[in-house]
Amino acid sequence: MKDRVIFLADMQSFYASVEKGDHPDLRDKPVIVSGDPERRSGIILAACPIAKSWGVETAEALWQAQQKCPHAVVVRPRMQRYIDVSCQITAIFEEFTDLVEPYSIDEQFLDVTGSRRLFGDPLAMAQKVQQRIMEKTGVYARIGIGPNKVMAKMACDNFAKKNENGIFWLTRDKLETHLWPLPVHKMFGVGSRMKRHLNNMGIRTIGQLARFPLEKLKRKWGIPGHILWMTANGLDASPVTPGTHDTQKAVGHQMTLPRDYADEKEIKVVLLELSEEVGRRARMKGYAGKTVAVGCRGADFDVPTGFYRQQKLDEPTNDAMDIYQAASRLFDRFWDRLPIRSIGVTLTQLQSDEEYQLTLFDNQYKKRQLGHTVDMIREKYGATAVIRAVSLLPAGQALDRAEKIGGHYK
Amino acid sequence: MQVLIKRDQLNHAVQHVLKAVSTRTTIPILTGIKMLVTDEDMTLTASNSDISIECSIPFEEDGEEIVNVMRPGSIVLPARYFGEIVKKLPEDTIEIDVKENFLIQIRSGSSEFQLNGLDPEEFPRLPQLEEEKVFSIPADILKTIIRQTVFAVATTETRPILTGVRWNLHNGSLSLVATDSHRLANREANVETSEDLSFENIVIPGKSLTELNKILEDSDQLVDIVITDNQILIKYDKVLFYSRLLDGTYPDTSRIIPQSFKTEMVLNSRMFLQAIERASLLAGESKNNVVKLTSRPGEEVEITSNTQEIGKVTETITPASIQGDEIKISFNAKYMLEALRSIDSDEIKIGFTGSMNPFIIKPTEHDWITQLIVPVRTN
Amino acid sequence: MWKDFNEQQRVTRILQGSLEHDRIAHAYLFAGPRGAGKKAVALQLAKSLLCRELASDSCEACADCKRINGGNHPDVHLIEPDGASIKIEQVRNLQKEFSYRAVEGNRKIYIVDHADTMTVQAANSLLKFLEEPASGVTAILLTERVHAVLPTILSRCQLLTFQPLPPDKLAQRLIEEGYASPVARIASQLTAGLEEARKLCQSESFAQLRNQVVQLSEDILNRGSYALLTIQDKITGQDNSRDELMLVLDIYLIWLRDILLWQSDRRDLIVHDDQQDVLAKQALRVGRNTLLQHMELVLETRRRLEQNASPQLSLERMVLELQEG
Repeated sequence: MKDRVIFLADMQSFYASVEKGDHPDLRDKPVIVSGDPERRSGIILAACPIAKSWGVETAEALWQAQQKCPHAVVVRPRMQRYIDVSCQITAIFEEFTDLVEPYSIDEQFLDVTGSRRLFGDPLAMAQKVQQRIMEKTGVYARIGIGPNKVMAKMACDNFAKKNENGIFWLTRDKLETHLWPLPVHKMFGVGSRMKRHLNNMGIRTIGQLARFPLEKLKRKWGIPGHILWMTANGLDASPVTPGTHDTQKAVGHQMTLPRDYADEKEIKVVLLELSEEVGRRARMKGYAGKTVAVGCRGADFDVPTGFYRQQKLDEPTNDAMDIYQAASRLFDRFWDRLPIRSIGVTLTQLQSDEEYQLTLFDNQYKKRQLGHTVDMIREKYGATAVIRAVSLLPAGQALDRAEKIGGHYK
Repeated sequence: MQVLIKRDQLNHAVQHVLKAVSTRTTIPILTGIKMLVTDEDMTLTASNSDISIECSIPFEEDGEEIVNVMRPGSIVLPARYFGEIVKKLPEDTIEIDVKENFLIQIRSGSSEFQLNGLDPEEFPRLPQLEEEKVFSIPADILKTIIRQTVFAVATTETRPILTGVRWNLHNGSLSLVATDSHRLANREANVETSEDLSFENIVIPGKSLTELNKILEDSDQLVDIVITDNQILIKYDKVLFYSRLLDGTYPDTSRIIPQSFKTEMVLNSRMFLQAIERASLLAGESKNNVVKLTSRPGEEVEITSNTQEIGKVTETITPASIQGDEIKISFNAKYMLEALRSIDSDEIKIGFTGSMNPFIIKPTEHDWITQLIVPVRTN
Repeated sequence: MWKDFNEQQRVTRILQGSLEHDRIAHAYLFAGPRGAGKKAVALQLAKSLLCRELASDSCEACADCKRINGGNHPDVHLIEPDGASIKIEQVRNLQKEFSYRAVEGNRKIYIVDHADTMTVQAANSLLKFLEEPASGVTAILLTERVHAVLPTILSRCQLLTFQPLPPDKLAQRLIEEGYASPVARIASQLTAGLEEARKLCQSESFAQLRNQVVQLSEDILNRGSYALLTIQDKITGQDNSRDELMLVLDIYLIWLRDILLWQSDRRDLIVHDDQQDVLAKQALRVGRNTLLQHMELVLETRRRLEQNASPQLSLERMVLELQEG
């Protein structure tokens, strides 16, 4: 396959950078973005480079960070704002190519193979991209360039982030000289557990993995083994697919609870709230789903408890009560009665909501009209303008959640 | 018990009752066929507890002796083996002799089998035919009214009661209703009965009725039917067919069938059926099998189906008559085809009350049958 | 018939009372050790509900009683673990069964044996059932481990606790099953339930150990050194496991108690009833105080063995001390 030119742009300390961009007075201060310190989600989501120079690390507890850097400015996350900025950045990328694939909120792939004639050689183009983002959003982007997605990703993680100009082009001829000497856990797709396995097999560098007999890897891990070997050899044929996140196969909503829930009645309240949210999202996107899935986990993630189960419905639906009833049945059947700390509801086998079979004993049309009406009220007057009465019970999360996105304050 | 019996007649009866033998059961006795011999008659019975079939063998047929009873009695025979053995025995006549401890000896010519039987006392008690509660209907009509309704029962167990056909009887008129909540089939028929006999909310499993229809023949011979607390009992020729009833209350469907219409049309059944069949060729790809029917007063009726990736089909059909408002309605073609196939009539009448409401299909010739379809909503 | 159930009188009285007053619960949970007669009582309850001859008892002669005994009644469903547990499919089949009316009468009964082995899914499905009881349906759940039954299930059933069989009833059962009377009696003294007692009776060495104990008791009383030889030769030297040695001591204790019983003229309670002659002779030779002392010594030795003392030394020491006393 002819080599392409792929960028992986990574936004440095994305949340913290957005905060600094929005609040210029914070520019020279150590900024930490952290979840609500009063709740268990009080961990560091992002830290600006100044805070990091004091030893603050992402994912550590807030109190730990504050010990290292007592003068740090702690900001509550504003997820909606970050999503907006992320979309803004996508729009900037789209000035350069129409092949933009958001990989996460702060990482995006660009296929600029066809853009070179317009914007010059890849390095120059990367600089332009970097400048535009800085100008428009105040965020510093690091860009890895490679002949495919994995090479671009590894170019960014291992080199561009350490380069002075934040750009690195990992060409094929640099594979052996630059990538292969690196320890194997620096490779994309190798976590700590995989690193242990590989080390046990005598594989310590990416180069050793690249030269390891493919057959042995395949025998040991099957297709994932094959992919590891291909990554080490800089091979990857996957295309940059715009809007990967749009073609939806499922609508789901999951939440971590502020405490253990062990009472069936309390869990049912949350289940209903989740169903309500899943129904709302499905309606918003014009979907109805034929399968409902429920998953839950216990508090101790080291001793995994809980289940993930799904059930087919007779009719596709996006009605909260229909989803809730199916979710509730699943829960009744599979819950082992151990306390849970995290729970989610998912609607899958989506199909268009434009067309649906009416039924004799159950007014589908009215149910959907009601759903849409509630959606409209909420859109106009806020998410808590209409809530279910059970959400007022202590178990309810809806009021609290309404102020958050992804579990964090907007 | 000791009896001499003609192989062919025994085999015929055994094959009949085998339909009710359960293959998987936790109740050991139900793996057997009960044979009962009295001085007056001989019967075979099998049951899987959902349905039971009893078949009697006459002692004499066309002057020929079929059964010769030496010693009356009863026994439960292991069905699977007995069925195979009877088929393969060498001579025309079989002797069955039950000894102590339910040991069965089967002799035919040079062949002799010994089988371990089971205690007939252990076999399920089936209700008896009580003359005063009987109503009767010709076999071919029973077969027809079952066929015209049973296809509409629900196939999922979400509401078990909907997997059955509801029978009501009032003033000599039998009414059958089946619905899976997307469509409904209703059939009325006159039966012969003592005038005060009536019942309602008798729900017979669709599966049982499908089995029954395999046994019934297209003859005008009368079938006797009795409803007891637990079972329905149907006597046809030499066969007694029993089915358990579904437990629970069937939903009230009396107000669902519209009586007045905003749009009414009369169509040629065959032409309409074929048009729907063709339109559904493309509709088959989409989930609800949707076809759309459009009609304006004084114009032809148009049936269309449109699947984005595949294409579009338009069928036009000239109605024999049409009156009322214009209508645009979408529905599942499969439901329409099944409804049309169940109505044996050259012309049908369709009545609509709006694109969001159920519509009905009836023959023009009589009022006995009503098929109802709930539309698909499209934006 | 209820009159045949004299072992769990508390339970059977409650059930009979409910039957007579037509106050049968939708669901029962019978809890108690193996062999306590839970299933038999469950079937008796089923028969009493379905018997066509008697109102609140079983006649054991009608077709319903007979078919329940034979496992052939179409409206009585028995669910037992399929392998190690009761699976969701089994409960689902039951649910399907209950969407129909009964086959014959207007009452359906299901018995779930080892209800504690239901999988989570099976238990949760059954729970739905218990929550919305249908009329004419009676559930009887049986368990040996009431604490392993989901509390939500427990709270929806009337709990009836079955007592373990008293030793004399246990022995009677074993004797009815054909085991030799002395062996059966000793085994029922030493164990808590039928199953365990039966196992003991079936073990090859048990009867032998008993004979050795009788021999040992004679040797000890004769004050010669034979007793030590018996210990060496017949008991510790026979590769008997520590458990078996404990058993020897347990049997010996019962033996000593039997002598006491003989002396107190409570011969009806004697366990080693086939050895009345030997007992009578020994009863004349040993005083009551000595006997109590002996029993204490045996218990002491048993404790030593439990604490892993050398079997041979412990037993020899016991013999010497016994002979001193």
